[in-house]
Amino acid sequence: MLVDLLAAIEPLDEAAMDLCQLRLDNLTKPLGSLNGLEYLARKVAGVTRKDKPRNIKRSIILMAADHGVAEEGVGAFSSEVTWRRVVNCCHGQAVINSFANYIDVQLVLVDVGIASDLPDLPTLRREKVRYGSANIIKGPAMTREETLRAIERGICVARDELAKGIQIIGLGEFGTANTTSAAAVVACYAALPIVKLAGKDNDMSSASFKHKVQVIEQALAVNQPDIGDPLAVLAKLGGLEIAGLVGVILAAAAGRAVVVIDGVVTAAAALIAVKLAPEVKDYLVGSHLSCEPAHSVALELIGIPAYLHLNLQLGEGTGAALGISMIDASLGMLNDMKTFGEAKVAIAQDGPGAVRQRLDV
Amino acid sequence: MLAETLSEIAPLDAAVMQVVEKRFDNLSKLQGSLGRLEDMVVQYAGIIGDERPSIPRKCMVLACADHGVAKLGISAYPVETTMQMTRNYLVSKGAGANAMAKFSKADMVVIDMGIAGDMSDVPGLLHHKIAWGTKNFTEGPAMTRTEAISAIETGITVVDELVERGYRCFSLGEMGIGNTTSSAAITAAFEGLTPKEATGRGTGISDRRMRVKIAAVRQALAINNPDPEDGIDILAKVGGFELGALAGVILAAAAKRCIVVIDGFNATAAGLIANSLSPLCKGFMLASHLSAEPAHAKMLRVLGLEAYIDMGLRLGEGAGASLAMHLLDISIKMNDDMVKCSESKVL
Repeated sequence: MLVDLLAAIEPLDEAAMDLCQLRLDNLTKPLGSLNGLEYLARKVAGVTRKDKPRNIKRSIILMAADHGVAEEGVGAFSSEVTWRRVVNCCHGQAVINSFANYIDVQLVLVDVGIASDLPDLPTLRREKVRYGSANIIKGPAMTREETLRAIERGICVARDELAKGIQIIGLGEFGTANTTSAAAVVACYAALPIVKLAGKDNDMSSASFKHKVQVIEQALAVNQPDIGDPLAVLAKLGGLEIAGLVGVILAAAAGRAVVVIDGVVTAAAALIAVKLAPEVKDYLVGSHLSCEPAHSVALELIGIPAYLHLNLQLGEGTGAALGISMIDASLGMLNDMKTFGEAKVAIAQDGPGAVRQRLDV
Repeated sequence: MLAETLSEIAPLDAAVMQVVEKRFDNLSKLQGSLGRLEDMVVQYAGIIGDERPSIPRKCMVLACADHGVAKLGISAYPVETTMQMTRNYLVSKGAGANAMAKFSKADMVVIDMGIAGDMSDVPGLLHHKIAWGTKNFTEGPAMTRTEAISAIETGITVVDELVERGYRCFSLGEMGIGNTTSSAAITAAFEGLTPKEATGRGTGISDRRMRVKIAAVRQALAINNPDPEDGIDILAKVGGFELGALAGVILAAAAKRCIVVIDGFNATAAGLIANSLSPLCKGFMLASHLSAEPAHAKMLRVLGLEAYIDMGLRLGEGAGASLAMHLLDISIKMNDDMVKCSESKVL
């Protein structure tokens, strides 16, 4: 399943992007002056194969799982266990529900590895592979077979969204201690000491931060992942929701949907996906830049920008929701603005605009 | 009128802000922080004096005017563009400002502050033309002191009326070929930057026009010698009518307890002028994005503001401000939903 999927990921549609760029260049504004918004519009054109995409359907997929490493006390929020936040979200009471309502995007909640049985929740999709991953400072988070199963669950969830006509998928997650796993995954590919990658959660004391760094160092030392084998990195240091997100990303790219990254955990998943299939990069869009250093490092390794400087530390797809808003704005620009010719406005007479702008577009 | 507006500006409501901060602290302890989105709500709550504000009615104020200095050829676009784009806002409705105002669910008012042409036939345009463009400030002052005050007071009048109609959130937009040259001179005058440090590529000009533009800023400062302690003097000598109007919008918004979302380089130059007249008005400003104009970061620092968005925008027209307005709305709604949830807690 995975091999076929990786082979199915195609490059973006250059012709659609060129036509889109021609229009962007000739909208009534200085050439390139909406820079990041223009980049997003062009990307959506390339993914959807439409030169003027509009009314794109979108959803946010939230993957939830527990992490054995949480028992090391590496998170500042261990009092709030994963399942409680997921239940809260199912009841529409998480912050992401508020965001999703405002920007009008569907949420898909998936239990891919919460460490307990959950009460009956109609909006929760049950795809549990196992009851939480193992503690990565003692050995691998999960087996290779479990990793593949979690990826496949992610693929199935994404395919169901694609079948509904969804063309933009935001990523989100719930998983206590998963920033530790994410930093460990990113560390495999970054030439940086762990102390420069680990994030300092709210109110984290310097002693607990030091402990978190040691935990990540130990996880790498114990597991010795082969970075030439991204699935091994994922299995040894990642987690079930990270694997599930890898599946979502791969299926979305193969099914020609834009993927909007959230924080460090989703960025780690994106990094693994790009290592498995480099073409995935073109389908990825960054949203916010969190305080987790591994977040910006992962985005740099992938090679995509992020736009929002908000110090978000919440996860659960909140940054991805805002990233989707930026795409909405970019498509608003593309569709609602008129060209110089249409609006009878003079084109540039100096600089790069004088070369690229025309009255007949 | 200006003096009265300045006297009405008071600090934010610290008690209300504390209530909202505490609410977010509880969220942070349990789940994680929403960082600067929380700051937005805290600021807005402190402005309107309500710990559970609802999403405000929003309006983009788009001020348009011409600049005498434009005839030196310091823009990539011809001088007529100011006229054509103003028509675009109201007739074709196909400008970036239109698209972004629609995205942010804001209404839009467009003011002719001093376009160098007859605009009497444009539907919906607010006619407050002070002159047919400013004078070329490389030869003397852009406008008289009386005209500068009149530009600011026009912004105040427009906002006062919008507040009457229920608007509580304003974004700043501007159109004026040559106005980044004016804003560069304003910034250099206030902050002591060299003309080279203060000047950017504006609409995307060639190296040749860039040299002319920097020389124009240098000449404007040398010949006019604006007083860095007197914002009105700076506005009169090297400013523009639309920039004066936006300074008035900021001051009136502050006086009437509204939030005002600053846009890019030009709007921030208006912010510097407003700040020089009333430092308290900073508390009512929300920075949106970091412009591609190099001096913008320094201007925001001076105002004690930090941009939320970094997308390389350099359009003006309230584009970045519209994105920030959207973030503000989301944050306000989140605050409201949090209160709702705590009232009907399932767990």
